[in-house]
Amino acid sequence: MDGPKAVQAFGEALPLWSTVPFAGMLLSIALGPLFAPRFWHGHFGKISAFWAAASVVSLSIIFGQQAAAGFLSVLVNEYLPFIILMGTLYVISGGILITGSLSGTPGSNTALLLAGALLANIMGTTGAAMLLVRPLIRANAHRKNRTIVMIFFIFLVANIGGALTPLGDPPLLLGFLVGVPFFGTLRLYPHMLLATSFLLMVYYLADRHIYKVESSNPEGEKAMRTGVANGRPFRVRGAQNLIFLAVAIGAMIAGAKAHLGRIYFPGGQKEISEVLRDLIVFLMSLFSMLLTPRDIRDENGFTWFPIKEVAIIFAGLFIAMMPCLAILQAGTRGHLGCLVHAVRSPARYFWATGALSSFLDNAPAYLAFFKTALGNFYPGMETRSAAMLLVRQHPAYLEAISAGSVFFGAFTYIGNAPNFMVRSISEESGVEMPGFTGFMMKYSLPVLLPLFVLETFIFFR
Amino acid sequence: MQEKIQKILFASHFREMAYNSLEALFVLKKTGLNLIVLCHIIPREEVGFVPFGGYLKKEADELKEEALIKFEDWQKAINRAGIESRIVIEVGDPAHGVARTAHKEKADMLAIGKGPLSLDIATRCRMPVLIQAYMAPFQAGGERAVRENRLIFDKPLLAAGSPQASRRALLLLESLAGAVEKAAVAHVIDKKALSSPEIEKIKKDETLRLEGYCDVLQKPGIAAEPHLLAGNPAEELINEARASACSMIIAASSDREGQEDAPFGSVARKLCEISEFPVLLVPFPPLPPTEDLD
Repeated sequence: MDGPKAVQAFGEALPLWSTVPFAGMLLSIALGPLFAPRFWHGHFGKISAFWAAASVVSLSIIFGQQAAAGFLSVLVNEYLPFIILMGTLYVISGGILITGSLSGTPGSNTALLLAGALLANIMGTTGAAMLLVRPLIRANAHRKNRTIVMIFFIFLVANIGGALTPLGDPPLLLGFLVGVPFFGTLRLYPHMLLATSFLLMVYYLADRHIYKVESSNPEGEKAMRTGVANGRPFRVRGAQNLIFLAVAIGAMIAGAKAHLGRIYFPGGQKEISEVLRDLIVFLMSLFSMLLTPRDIRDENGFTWFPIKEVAIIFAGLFIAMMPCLAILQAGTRGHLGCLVHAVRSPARYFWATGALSSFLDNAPAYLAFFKTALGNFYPGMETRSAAMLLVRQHPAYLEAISAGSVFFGAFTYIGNAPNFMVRSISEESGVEMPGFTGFMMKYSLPVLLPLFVLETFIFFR
Repeated sequence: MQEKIQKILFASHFREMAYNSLEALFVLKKTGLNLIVLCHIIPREEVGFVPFGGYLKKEADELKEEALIKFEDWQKAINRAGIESRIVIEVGDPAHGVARTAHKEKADMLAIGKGPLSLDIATRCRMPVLIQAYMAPFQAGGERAVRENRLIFDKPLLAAGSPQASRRALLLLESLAGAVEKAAVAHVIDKKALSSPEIEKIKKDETLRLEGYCDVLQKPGIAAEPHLLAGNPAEELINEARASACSMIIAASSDREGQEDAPFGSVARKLCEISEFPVLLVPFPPLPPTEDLD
């Protein structure tokens, strides 16, 4: 499957209907939680397995070994390292506990949002969000309106903050796993700087106004004074996890640079350095589990459930999207040639990736348009080589795809996995959160849309 | 003297016969019990973290209401027994949530049902933990049977481990005088000691120790009998409890175990797993309280 000609031929031969399971999977993710949340909650594993099986069985019947090898290659080279790293970041961040509390003023909240956005680049948006969501809720316990800070937390910490490194957001991690250099995403710093400054400023001004209104009556003023007085200095427990995090990051960078030979398996191959990387990263999660006192995870509300969900859903996604990505990679000669034709400029890539990321998960959206770009510029070329060329020759396209997937992930609750975790924890803690439409109408559209237009004019014209 | 058990946190997941287990505690009114906190933790995973969805608020509210109605019904019986009661219903991690609520409520004892989480909960607690199943199936002499644990404080068996651990269990049992009239005090001699040249001395010393414990229990009016045993500790204790018609087993953690994250040793764990009797675990003395994050 790895030979350029084989990839090209496979992508060209795949029929359009082979993308149906992927579309079904994406629609299930988008519509299930909206229209049948109870059913979806109880059966998402079966739904994911159904679409994956539909893809594997139908293609294996038609293409036989070639399809089976393709699926195996995706699981070994992409899914496994992806879930190992996501799981490790989740386990490590769950082992760090921040005690104490800030005072919940607009200024201190803004500082926490900024810190979270920066932290997201090191421990991932999921990790940073999980680490800071409870301290933020505690800090604002005395506030009447806590919704706005949680919304901007989703915007900044759970999404846009993670734009600078592959650790930051799942789409960028996927890009790294298929050949984008580790530091390649640092090119997004101007985009991220603009977005972060803009959002922090909007948040600060809006919350300052709300804070003033809340403090305008004697009762509110008293609550604010008590809240500010109750602020306690931060203390970090489980700091050993920072070492595990550093080792995991080191292993990722080294794994991408070292070349120790390859292991071959039916239908594919894998760099030995990548196997070692995954092993070291996995070991760090084990160390974190073993060497972190249980009460830290208890207080963090750590549970395996969210990462289990991600593992199950992404197993289905990775399998179901394989045919679609192969067709896109075949460029104009594949059955999705019209899409490859239609998306030609960085601005279009930014908005097309963004539109898909908003209403479907942003990780597959990234891969779909990443492969579209590869199919556009280097049809049929082996993914890693093509990715390297794209970084060197057409960096604006990669920036547009990366920014589109990461930034637009904040647009709806379903755009990125941490969004629903933050929503879940907030609602469980009694914070009023808007529904799906309310989130978009009241917050995403008025705040994010102008920002994305601005980003387009400045960076993707 | 151990402080009286005045407040019990009764955690329930509303399994079959859970109310009967609660009723079995009412007898402690005689020994000073004046408040039962009824606690139900709705597992977070049942209502939260809906993939890409969030939190099922309506479902959570329904489950809370359902639990509240059941607890309010139980409260009537508790009040009739002359005991006050309170209700705590939360969403969270069941093991952590129960232990956390028990510490927050400063409960003198925690009562939980026997199930997959019971040891997980017990190891998080620094107060006595009663693990019970009202109808407990077991196997004895190759036959299957079911034990009804109704009058659980009738005749406890005190598993005497190390002197310090035994002292804690003894103090707790002493504090139950009034509800408890008879008791058995048993020690299982370690297998290694059986082949020791000093076995006679060990037997003599242990017998004296057990008799000393029985004397201590006589003072508040508990008629106790000593039993020196040998073999597999957990199995022998259960066999003795059956033979002496005991109603529960009280076991304390040894000091070494108490300093670890898991405060109970292998004997206590095995007792919880295989015994058909309710097991009252007495942990190592409380650790300094952790910072309250709320």
